[in-house]
Amino acid sequence: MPSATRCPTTDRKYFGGVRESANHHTTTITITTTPRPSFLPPHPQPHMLELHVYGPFQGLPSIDAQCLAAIAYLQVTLPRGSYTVIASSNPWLSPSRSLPALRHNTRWLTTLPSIASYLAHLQSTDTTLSASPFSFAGRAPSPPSTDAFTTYILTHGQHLLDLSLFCSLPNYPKVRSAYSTICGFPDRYLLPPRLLSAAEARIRDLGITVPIPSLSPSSSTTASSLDPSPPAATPGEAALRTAAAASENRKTALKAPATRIRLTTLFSTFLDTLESQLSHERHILHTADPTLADCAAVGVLSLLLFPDLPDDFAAREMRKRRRLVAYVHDLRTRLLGAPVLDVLAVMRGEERSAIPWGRVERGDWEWLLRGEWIDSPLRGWFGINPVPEPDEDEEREGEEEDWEERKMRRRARVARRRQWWGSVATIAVGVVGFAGFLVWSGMGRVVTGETVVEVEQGGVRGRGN
Amino acid sequence: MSETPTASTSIFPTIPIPQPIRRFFDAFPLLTLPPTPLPARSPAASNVPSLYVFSTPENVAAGKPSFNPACLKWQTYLMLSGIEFQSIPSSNHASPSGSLPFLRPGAAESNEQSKPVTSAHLVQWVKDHGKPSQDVDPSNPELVAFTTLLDTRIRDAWLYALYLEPRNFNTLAIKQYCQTAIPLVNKLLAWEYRNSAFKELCKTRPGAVLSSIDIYADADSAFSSLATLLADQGGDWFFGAAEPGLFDATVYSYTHLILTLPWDRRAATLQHTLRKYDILVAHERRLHALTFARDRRKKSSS
Repeated sequence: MPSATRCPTTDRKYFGGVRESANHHTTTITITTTPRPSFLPPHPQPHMLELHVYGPFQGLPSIDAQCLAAIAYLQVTLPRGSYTVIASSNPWLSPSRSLPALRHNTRWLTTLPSIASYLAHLQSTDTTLSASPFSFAGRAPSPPSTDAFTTYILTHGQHLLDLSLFCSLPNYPKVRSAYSTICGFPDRYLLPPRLLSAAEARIRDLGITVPIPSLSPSSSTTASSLDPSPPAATPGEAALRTAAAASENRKTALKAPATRIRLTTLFSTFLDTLESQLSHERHILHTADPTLADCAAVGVLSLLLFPDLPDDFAAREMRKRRRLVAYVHDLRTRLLGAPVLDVLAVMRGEERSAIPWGRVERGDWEWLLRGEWIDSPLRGWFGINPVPEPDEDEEREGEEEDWEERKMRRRARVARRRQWWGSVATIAVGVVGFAGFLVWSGMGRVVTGETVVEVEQGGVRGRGN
Repeated sequence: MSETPTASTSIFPTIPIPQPIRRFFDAFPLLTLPPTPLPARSPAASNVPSLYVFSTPENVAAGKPSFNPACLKWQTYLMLSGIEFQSIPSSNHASPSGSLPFLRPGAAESNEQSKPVTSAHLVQWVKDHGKPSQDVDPSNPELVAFTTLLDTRIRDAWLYALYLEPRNFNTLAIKQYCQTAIPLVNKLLAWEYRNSAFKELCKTRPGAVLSSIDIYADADSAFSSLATLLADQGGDWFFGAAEPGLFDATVYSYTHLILTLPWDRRAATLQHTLRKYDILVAHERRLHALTFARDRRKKSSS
């Protein structure tokens, strides 16, 4: 759905969001320069940024590493109240059909590097956005290797996430059900298979056969074949049992150790590189404050470490590296807030945590049927109220409300009505014009085949004259 | 002939075969022909290792670099390691791994060592055969990270500029990669190249929407990081090395091609982007003087 058609609803949301955030954080209001009577509500902030992400997963604010990284980066760079995070989980919102996507008025930024560079650009032009909880706030030049490490972590970390979340046979059902909780109606069935096949394509490039059977020692097929036989079994019976189990799962049993070795190598290459880069510092690039690379790292590593999955080989590999685990725990508490417990509260924007959640506009059938995506003149035709009436609360709240705003609202109503009449007139003129053309060209008489040719020729000749 | 290998397969029980039938099968093969000679144009076994690359016969004869970054990287690296080799124009279909380049060791090697070496094993092969190099420790995190930067952002921009900008694709890529004698095959190849480039780019872009602005901006920031890295370390080569190594060869393989290919004027964003970074252009010049330019001088003087 093009973004322009969604404006009526999102504008409203903007309004509510700003007011709410302003109540919580009065400091941001005092910075605004325009003198304004104190009884008036604050100006709608021009810099209300919306970050659209995939929804929460097992206590983490998002199921996607890049989304987690984007949430963390906004926490690091922007002051609270200047943005909302919306767990829309709907990639169709964004022009690149992927999340995370940052929306600023009509502009969409859809990759982590472009979000970062856009925020740096915004902060260089607007001082109100620079007051971040961290001192660096995008002003101190980030080390030259930030880009390189961010790319490295996101590219290679994505492979590990593909392995542990999608390509692992025991884990995928859990991930799929998490996606179906957070996604809207058609997407909840379409998105997980699409992500799965993309993950499988990436993993096949590494030379690993997918899907990967269970690798945890408790449930692996090799282990089950070595189970002790019942006590009454003779040595011969035990040998037969083992042989039968082995031949049954011969293919998997032969493949499993090789796969395990490949995976261990992949994990240790990535995690050891990160650990040696981190050494004994607090941040990965040895800076005083977190950088984009740290945000990428917390996105990837926390998805490897924290989720409780049936086959936890990723978490086991992580736990072998104490320093990395301590680093992820530290960053998570600072950048991703408390564990998210209620997914639905997040979607309604009611979750109160360090992350400023916004209400989700679901792009499913319910939303389609409500017809909010239809442009206002068309909605008039369908009998749906085209004028978004102000909320009851709002009316009561501002009893001696500013005449300025009322005037604006009235003006908007008049403009909308004018637009409606305009479109009615356009359609009427179109219909009349077409009827006129039919009469003029003589096509009105055309009923059966033979006359068609003559009439058309006549029409052509007539136009030629 | 009586103890025929029937006994070796344990699944089937040994059945005594009647004499006439056994005699009939023993008569085969009726005639054994001598082995077919190789085609006349097939390369003669030479004492010098041969590197199979994407190139044209004229380019190879003139000692010009390959037009494919992966091939050019290894050409450069072999030259830097002081290994005598010859480049041979070839295509992916000739390679045992399905992709170029690969190296056929010289005839002087023993039988075990004369197997083709694919690009994944070239570093080890060079280590065994070339002069001892003081290359950077390959597990250095910064090196690993910057290599990823080249393999993702700059490679993506390269793929986009060459294959998905129609102007460049029609003037450059088709001439380089789709030159068989059959027009229909060329059309098919062209479609395949474009399609695989698109799929390659989509692997890291789940929405399958490619934005040239984003791709080129990412490449720009990657070039800028590389330039800062080179400037910060102060030396002529990356990571403060005394001599150029594999990373320099990789950077060169992209910068040389981006700077020298005749891009279409209206689709040369990548070239303009790179030209902004004088230090990378100077790096490309230095490395070129050390490898291909010197090679050509040597050839012309001899």
